Amino acid sequence: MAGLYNSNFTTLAMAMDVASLRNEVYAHNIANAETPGYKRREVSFEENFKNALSSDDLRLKTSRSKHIPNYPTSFDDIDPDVTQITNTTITNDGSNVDIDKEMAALSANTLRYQTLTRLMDLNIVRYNIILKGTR
Amino acid sequence: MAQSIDPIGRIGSTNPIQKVSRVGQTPKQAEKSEIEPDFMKILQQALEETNTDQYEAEQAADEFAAGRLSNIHDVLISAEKAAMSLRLTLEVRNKIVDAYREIMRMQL
Amino acid sequence: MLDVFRTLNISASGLTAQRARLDVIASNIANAETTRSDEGGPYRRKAVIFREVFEEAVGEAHYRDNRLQTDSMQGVEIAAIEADKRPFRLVYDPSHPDANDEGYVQMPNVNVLREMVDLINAQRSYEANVTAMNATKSFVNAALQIGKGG
Repeated sequence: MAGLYNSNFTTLAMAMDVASLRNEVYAHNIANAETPGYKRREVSFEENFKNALSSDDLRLKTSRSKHIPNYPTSFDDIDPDVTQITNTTITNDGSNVDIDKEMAALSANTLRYQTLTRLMDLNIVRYNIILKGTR
Repeated sequence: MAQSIDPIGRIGSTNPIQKVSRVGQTPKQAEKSEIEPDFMKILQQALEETNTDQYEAEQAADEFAAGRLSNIHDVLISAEKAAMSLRLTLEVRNKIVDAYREIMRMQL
Repeated sequence: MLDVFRTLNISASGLTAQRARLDVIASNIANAETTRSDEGGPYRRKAVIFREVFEEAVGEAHYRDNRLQTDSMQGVEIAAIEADKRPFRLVYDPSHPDANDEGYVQMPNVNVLREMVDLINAQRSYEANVTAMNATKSFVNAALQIGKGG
């Protein structure tokens, strides 16, 4: 199966899954912002993702390099956790949710998801240029 | 039609696309032998640049997905550039095919 | 992709909870001077108690069959509407029909200013849940753009 679809299909799809999960967690935190004793939850993902890759600190290279990053090829390679944050101070009627921070995080995550879908779309566009453009 | 590629200037200063399209109208032996080596080199260069653009765009998207590239505009520009250069390469290829067909028709 | 309707339900539960809270606040404000309630005696302030809806047993987030699944987070619910057990206010007003022998009237334990602050907070929470719901909707819209081209 390898060869037809590039790595973007897998990595972008996984990133979108995580962003969706994050969105759900933020919605849950916001709904429980004033639940007494509630401890906010969050998703840890990038750490797990990084551990699955090679240890090199990869940056965007401007020249073509022979090094192919060891990205996870299947969803079983990584495992996002939904964890509870218990070490922060209590605000706001007994929960540790800072509603403003939560809203900001929600916003940033939404933008990230929209960028990911754009990138997926552009990836498909590139495939279509070749598939549809030849005469 | 070929003039639309002119402003981009990627195919080199001699603009062999124009020459190729003119070959169909006024075929000249001297002009023809001049075009081929020059053109192939430039085309190869363009193809390599296009390839690099694709690779960079894919890299950037993977990095962004992994959370290690946080610049939204960088990754989107990279993706759009790759799409553009791919379209350009395709247009060049199609123009060459068209010109070739025109030449083939002429010989009848 | 996650079941987006579940995410919307989480925000919906927040909207419902805040709306119930607003109702209770409205009742408190309306009855701030009520000396004769259905239970007898002055009106007693009411307050909502929220509770998280979380089902641990259903499972935590992890990739299963190439799909990210989580069914545990389900938003918030009203655990109870409790009566505020703090004592009634004593106001000196001998002319009041419900005054006692010393001329004091037992008034509801409602602090209207505090209720107003609570009202603003409830509105803010309501808006926040609306924002969360809109964010989820934008996820769906963004996903629908995939494959449309450019």
